[in-house]
Amino acid sequence: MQSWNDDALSAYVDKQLLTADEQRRIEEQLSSGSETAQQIAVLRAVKNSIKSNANLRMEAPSALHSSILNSIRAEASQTSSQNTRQIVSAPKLGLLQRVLGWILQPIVAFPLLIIAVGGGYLLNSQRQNQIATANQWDFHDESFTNYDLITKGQLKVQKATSDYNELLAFFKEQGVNYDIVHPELKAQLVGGVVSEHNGQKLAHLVYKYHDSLVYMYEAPEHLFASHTLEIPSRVTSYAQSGRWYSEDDSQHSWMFWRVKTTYCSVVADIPKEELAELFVEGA
Amino acid sequence: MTTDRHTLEFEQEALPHLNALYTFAVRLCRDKDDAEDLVQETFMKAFRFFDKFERGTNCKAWLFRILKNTYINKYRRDTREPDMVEYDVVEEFYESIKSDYSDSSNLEQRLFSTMLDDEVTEALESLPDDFRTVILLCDVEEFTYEEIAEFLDCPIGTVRSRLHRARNMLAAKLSIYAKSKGYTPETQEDDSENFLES
Repeated sequence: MQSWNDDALSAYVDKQLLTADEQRRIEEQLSSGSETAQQIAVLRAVKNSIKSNANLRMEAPSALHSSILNSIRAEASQTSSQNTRQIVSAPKLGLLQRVLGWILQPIVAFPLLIIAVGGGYLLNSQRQNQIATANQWDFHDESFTNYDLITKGQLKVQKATSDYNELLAFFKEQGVNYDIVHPELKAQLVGGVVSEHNGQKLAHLVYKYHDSLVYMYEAPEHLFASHTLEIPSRVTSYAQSGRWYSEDDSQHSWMFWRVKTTYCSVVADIPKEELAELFVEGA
Repeated sequence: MTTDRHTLEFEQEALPHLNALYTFAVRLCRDKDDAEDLVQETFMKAFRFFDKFERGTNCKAWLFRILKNTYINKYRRDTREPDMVEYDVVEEFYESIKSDYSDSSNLEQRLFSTMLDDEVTEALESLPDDFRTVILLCDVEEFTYEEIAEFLDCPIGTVRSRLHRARNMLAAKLSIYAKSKGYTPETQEDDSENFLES
């Protein structure tokens, strides 16, 4: 290796990530009057020419500053008023909730699911799934958004099958390259969807349980390590320990857990106890 | 936390980094309007997820990660391997200073001292994206190698080698650029030697 090609020299200039051996070696070379001194001088000169370059530090337009500030405050006040409204009108269902409640009624939900599955299968080769366009990066929120899209028929199952191996082959074929978790469930597999997040293909599984839909979203650990996806802080310790977490409200339940390096999120419109019972113990 | 306090804390913690984010966004998008949209979206996302920001950690690094993810999602840019460094150009450059600068004292001050900011910027702009980015993150934004690795989603060792190659490449480009502009040693104060004319 050429001596100039020794990246420890840049680390020496930056005073970062230098092993004791590298530090000693460079100092010995410096004291012996080798070319190392010239090379370090060059690296420092480059660093200084960048560091002192006024062009590389720009001032954001004041209009941008104001626009951000206004948007934040508007959103904060909207959130605040929504919270107030929710507290005041908690016993009543909002319009959206009522529509969703209607959609999720067994008599409506099941035909919708059939339409979604059938339509998705037919359109599979013609359209991109819509999960990939979601801007959210919160694993919990994304799970609920996708669940809603599926129940509304806006997100189609790309591969309709009740055969897990067939679905697994589909995921692999679509480029899902991490370990898919397939817990034994007392629910019928309906099919799956593949989405893309920052170039990573992600697997989504859809199950049917009586007249309910059980949606499972899986993502590899490295997306969380790189903050491409986030988990709510309340489940961080569960992700670390691999324990199961579940919660519910009047409409839905959510379960979260980790199996080796795969994070799993499940949403269903049944109570959390009922959802937990679907998972076959020891599976 | 109340909404007012949450908003105030966000404004105090995140907004001071607006200029840094805008500067980086302009370099990333190469278009000021796109950069403004990107920064606006970044701050809105950051605000919505501010409760997930780990207090006491580097807020600027956190914002930069959001900006990068937003940029990738929005522009659907593929991540790719960096372009190759032109080793022969770098080697030639080092050979030239070796022959012309036997005395390396004050070399750091003498090298590139006559170059204007615009010229340095131009040379930096001519670097492949991945090399330019790592230099900006290290030397302008002053992130640690670890923070850069997290931002670029690559091993720290890759950051170190990429940064070193980027600096060498930039040094060679600045040297070539200086020659093309006709900068001679006479134009440099206290410099009796000539590395550019070698």
